Amino acid sequence: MADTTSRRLVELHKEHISNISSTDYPGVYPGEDHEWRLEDFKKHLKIDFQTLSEDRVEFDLVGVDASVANAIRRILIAEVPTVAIERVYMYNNTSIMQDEVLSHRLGLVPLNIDPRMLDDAPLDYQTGSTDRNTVVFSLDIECSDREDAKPNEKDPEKLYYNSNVFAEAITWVPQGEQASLFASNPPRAVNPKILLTKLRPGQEIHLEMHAIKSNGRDHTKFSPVATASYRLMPHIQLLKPGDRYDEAKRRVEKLEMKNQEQAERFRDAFGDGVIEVKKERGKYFVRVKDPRRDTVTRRILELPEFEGTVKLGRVRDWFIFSVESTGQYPAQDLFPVAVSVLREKVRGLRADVERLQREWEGSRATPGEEAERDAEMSG
Amino acid sequence: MEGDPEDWTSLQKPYRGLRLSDPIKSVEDKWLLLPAFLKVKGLVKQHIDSFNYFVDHDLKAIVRANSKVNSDVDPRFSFTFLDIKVGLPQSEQQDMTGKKALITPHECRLRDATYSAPIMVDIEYVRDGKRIVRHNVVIGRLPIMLRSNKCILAGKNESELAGLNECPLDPGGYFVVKGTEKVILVQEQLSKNRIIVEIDAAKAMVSASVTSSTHSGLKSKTYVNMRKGLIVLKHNSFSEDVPIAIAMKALGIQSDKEILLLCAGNTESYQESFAPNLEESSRAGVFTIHQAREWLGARVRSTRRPTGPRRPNWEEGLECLLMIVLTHVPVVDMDLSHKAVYVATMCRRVLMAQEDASLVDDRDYVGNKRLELAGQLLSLLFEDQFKAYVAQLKTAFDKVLKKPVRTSPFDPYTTMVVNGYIITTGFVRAISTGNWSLKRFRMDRAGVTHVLSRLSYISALGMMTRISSQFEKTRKVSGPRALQPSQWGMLCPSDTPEGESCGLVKNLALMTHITTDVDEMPLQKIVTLLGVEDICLSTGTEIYGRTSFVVHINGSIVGLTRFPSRFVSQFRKLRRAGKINEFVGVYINHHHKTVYIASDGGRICRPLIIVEGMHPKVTREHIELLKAGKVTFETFLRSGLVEYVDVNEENDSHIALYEKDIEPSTTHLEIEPFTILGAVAGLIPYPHHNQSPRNTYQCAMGKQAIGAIAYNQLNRIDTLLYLLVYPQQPMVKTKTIELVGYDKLPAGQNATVAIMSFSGYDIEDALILNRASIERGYGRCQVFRKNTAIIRKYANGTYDRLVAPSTNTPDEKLPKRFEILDIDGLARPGERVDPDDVYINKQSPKDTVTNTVNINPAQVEYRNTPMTYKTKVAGYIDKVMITDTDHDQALVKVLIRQTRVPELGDKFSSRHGQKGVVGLIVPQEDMPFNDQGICPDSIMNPHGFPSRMTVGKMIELLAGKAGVLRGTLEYGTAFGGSKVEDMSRILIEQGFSYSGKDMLTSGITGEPLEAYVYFGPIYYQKLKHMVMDKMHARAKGPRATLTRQPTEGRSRDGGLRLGEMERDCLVGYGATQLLLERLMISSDQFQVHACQTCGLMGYNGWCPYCKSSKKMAQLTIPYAAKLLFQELISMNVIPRLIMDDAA
Repeated sequence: MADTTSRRLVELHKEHISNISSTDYPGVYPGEDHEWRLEDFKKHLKIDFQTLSEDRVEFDLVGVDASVANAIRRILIAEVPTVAIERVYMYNNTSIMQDEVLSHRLGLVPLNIDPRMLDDAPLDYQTGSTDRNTVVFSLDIECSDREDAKPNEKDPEKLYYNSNVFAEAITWVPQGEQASLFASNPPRAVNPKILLTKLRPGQEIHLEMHAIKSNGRDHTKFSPVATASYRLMPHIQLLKPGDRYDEAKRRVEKLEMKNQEQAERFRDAFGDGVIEVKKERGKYFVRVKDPRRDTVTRRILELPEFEGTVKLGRVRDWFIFSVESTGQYPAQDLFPVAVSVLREKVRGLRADVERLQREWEGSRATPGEEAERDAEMSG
Repeated sequence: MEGDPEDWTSLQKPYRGLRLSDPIKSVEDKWLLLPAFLKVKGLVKQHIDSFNYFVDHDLKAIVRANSKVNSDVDPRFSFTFLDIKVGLPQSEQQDMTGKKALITPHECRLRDATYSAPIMVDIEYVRDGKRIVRHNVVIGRLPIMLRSNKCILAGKNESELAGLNECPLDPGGYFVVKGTEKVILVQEQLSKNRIIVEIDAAKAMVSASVTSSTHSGLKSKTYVNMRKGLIVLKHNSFSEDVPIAIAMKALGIQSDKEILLLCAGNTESYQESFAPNLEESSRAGVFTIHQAREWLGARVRSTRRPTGPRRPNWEEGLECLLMIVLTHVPVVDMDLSHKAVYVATMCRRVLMAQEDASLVDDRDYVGNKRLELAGQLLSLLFEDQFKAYVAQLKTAFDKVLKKPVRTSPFDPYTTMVVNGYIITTGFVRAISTGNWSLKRFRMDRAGVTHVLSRLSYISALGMMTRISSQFEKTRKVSGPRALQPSQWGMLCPSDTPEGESCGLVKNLALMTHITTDVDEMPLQKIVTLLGVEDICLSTGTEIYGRTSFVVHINGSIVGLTRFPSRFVSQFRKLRRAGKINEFVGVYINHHHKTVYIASDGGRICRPLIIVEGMHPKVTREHIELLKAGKVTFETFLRSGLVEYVDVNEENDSHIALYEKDIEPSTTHLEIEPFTILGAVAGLIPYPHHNQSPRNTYQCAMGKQAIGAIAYNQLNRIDTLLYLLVYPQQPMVKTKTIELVGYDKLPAGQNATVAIMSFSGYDIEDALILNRASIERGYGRCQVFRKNTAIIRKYANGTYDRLVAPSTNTPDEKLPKRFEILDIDGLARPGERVDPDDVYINKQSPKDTVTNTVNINPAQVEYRNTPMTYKTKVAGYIDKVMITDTDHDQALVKVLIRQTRVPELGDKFSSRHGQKGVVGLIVPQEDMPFNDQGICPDSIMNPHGFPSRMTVGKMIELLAGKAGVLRGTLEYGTAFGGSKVEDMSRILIEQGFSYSGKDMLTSGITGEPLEAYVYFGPIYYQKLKHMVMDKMHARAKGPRATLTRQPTEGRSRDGGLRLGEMERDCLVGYGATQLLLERLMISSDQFQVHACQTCGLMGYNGWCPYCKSSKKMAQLTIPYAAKLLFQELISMNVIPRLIMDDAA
């Protein structure tokens, strides 16, 4: 566990949380030298991957302020672009599902198209749509009776063909040079078994879909994450009995309990595996084994017998990130993409700031102009 | 012997795994009786039972009573109705083969037809001296109640119903008349034929009254009043009050001693207060029966028969007593003694109430109420119509019989066929307008029927259980509106509207049943067999004897018993054995010292488990059998385990709420406590934790919630239909929800709610919604609107037509508003309709009067009468239906659909009377999130809780959260449900705080929030009030023709009124120019010319009064003012304008 002074801790109490904010200049305290140095930042910044699967990644981000972590989280949700179906051209839809509802559902289907392969959507789709910015899909499906159905069959799947319309029925219609561009990984729905609607014999759906690139700010369907969030690393400080105003002296690694039952009660007030009970020389001790597993149930604060023996907190700059991909990006790619979006934004902001500064300096250079403007304003 | 001491130890040994000391197992799952009950009876059983009773019994009785049609002309003529029956619902139109096909209710809804069946009679008459019997002669059509035994839906299973396009969850109990679904609401009335004693404090009067009503429909009210020590009999047909002694004498009790004993009994105090009344009769010089009848006869209001010689007074008096006063008391062979006893009883009740005010009756007591159902109302209507029909037949017969020479022998059957419409139209008119005006029965009621509200499944269901009171809404009295303790288990304590009809409109509880009439003849025999002595054999001494109890059947006095408890228990035993109808009620009233037996219709009753010897008769074994489906509710009834108990009998019983509460005196056990609530209040989770008005508010709001309506909702074409795109069943259910099927047709969604303050856009009950939730489909709803056009045929042979849009030249482009039309002149389904688009391109002939038979159809001139889309927001054509009505007119219905996404200002509500509008829609990234990364779907401000005290909502959240985490649905059933303790334990097991409060992180700053936030799922309903339907503004627009002021209301694109109060503010502030602008310039400014000489308005600078243009002035006044002047002038009042030069 990293060194955790009280400055790094958000304190959890029975009914409230205190010390939630860092200072106005995060990491800077009055009268102390906390000048930002890249070396220091590098030294403190830590990214540890905890778990990684195809669609989910969990990693620790340590050593940055909440604003940075939150920016990344927000970018993941709303600003990393993906491709999703935006326009549906309905030729025929005799299913029970209304056109709008079906279209809405189609829009929400995640597509495995690498958004980096497409340009941004054109301003006017009617004139600007090209094979560089639009992917076309079609859905043509009809339901009919199965000839081989048993007489008393009740299961619609065995009675009819295409009684369920799944996302796998969405077929890609290559346009222009897309056939070669996407040859290695032809566009399709990420999950083939998303139920779109149901059909019965005689019903059919014929439609064309245009997918474009956009981001979650435009519509949630473009969000690349099922969710991206973080929690702060829990911190459990055991305190031995003593002067209640001198907490620093009471901090202990392990806490002595009266007997095994009490120790187990202490242990059970936390989640599984957070606290371990140790028997040393006939005495029972509890010590913090794995604070990461704590789910902040605050049970221990409710038990009068343990009052004052423990202080709960969370480490302010230790973010346990959890990012779940909806399938357009591999989960491990999402964080770097988000960072690059952030850098892009910073670059844009810097360019704007620099432009502003140039203008300001430029206006200073020619005082006449400024006087003119002042005159305009007062007039 | 078993009693040996060594055997004592053997008793301690377990027997079949049980010890003597083990607690007695309670009957678990006895609530399963409730679904069993509902399976047999259904949710609207009262309506259906009543209608079935009407069709099966009342109808026949009415025909039997009016079966003979005689002729005044030919005394040998004979015509008799032998029988009547109702067929199956069939179409009014004949098909190719001349047969009338069976129709389904859904077809009637779509085709604007009436779901009705032919009424068929068997007739017998004489023709050519031969007796002829004809069977199944149709005399009219009767609208059929859905799911009644004449309905084709009766007894159909789910897939058969699906084949008929009908929803299996639809309760039925309503009619389809001219395509609209109509319900005859249950009407509440004071019970007939029962004595009610009241005190009129203002007049210092004690009065006993009884409204007599018999099957022949005669109704009259008789009073026995006591005022200043004098007791009188009062009736409408007597011109003055009759002193009680005279009345008694007229009724055949001559001796004063006998009168005294009958009226006052042996009780000295009653005798003392009664004594002055005896003097009253002697003062009037009335001593004998004859004298009394003479006295009475002189005071009878002669009602009819002004012709003929006037009969002697005594005869007049006797007839009045026999026929008009207290008609419900039977008179056999001119024996008035029953009536005498009845009047005496009324008198004694008055004396008792005079002495002890606690013996005054409460007319709000539910036991004194009777509910009138569709069957009774229809039976009155049918009787009226049938009599009218018979009268019409009679005149028609007479007309033919009057003719001396006939070409062919007279056959009444042909006349009958011609006169068949009167009954049909009578029913259709009454049900579709709701006006029951039957002169024959002095009945004139409006608003008897209502259109079944199909806003949501619950609103339809709620309407079927509604009871409306006859009481006037305007009167500000609390009595009839108050919650009566006797409503327990019968009427829902929560479900009543707010405002003027609060407490007057009630709803039935879940297990309530309403009785239909049961024949009382067998009862009288049984009563005699059980040892009751005839009342006429006793004098006052026996009747009011210390040990004797009077037995009443349906309000009439039958006899005496000296062993009331034994009598009642024997009576009940017979009933439980099935020898007496299960709906016959019996109870002892110890104050009146009477045993009342009731078998009349309209009593409210409910089933209870019988308890004998401290053990409920329903045991676990029975419930096991029920679970296995081996027995039904009927079995429980028939084997005497469960019985129906009406309000009066309930009051005489000792009912244990739970099995543990059973005492030696307990007679019954409740089946389930939550059945005291109705179907609508039953949706509320944990209602017993809420402040009671909140439950009432939810009952009103649950009916406005958008959701699924019926399984056939997409096949229906309703005027207005709201549907939720993704309805969900609630996480926290109740048993009622499962029983009524709300989990299958829900109206709401489980929203994850954070109870916290956010951004200030959530004050005053506003809600914050998550934009991502909305974009994923939360709160998305559809609105379907029906638009109908009738393609008319006119009398002159012309007809409307639908035409394809066309242009003058082939290459001209079709105007945009015709673009969605197909070649048949109707919009194509699936097309988008924008405002002002034409969706039915109809043309009507210009001339519909002149006969056009000789004119070439191509020469008929047409004008355009299209239907255009008026709504401001575009919609989509969902369906186009072309059909014909029963009257051979083509009918086009176009269903236009809108899909709506929640927006700022849309109304949402939880199930706890907590409504709110959307105040802000927040992007997901700004929403707070918990450690799992869960964002709330909506945020509710915690200030909604302290004053409203909806603790049930908090528990719903807790139970819902536990259920979500564990993957189970939890129960919030009233007086039960998942326990908070268990829910908290689940939360702990799942790694959450037991309190339901999570630590959240702000999505805006990324830092933790300073408070733990109560966070979890709550079932939210989207209510039908949406801003899209309400937003309105106008700059300029249409004006009313008469006043030239802006029109009123959104639908007319009206202006927003600067009303009186707003005007007062401006006046007070002194903003004169603003006032002038608002009230005149922007409204109805008008230039008039007025003459300064005469002060009258002129015209174009000319004063027609002075015949001069010299002193004319032009001025600007409101047009309404000018109109007022002219109207005054037309009334001979001259307003003169006195003008002054503006400074």
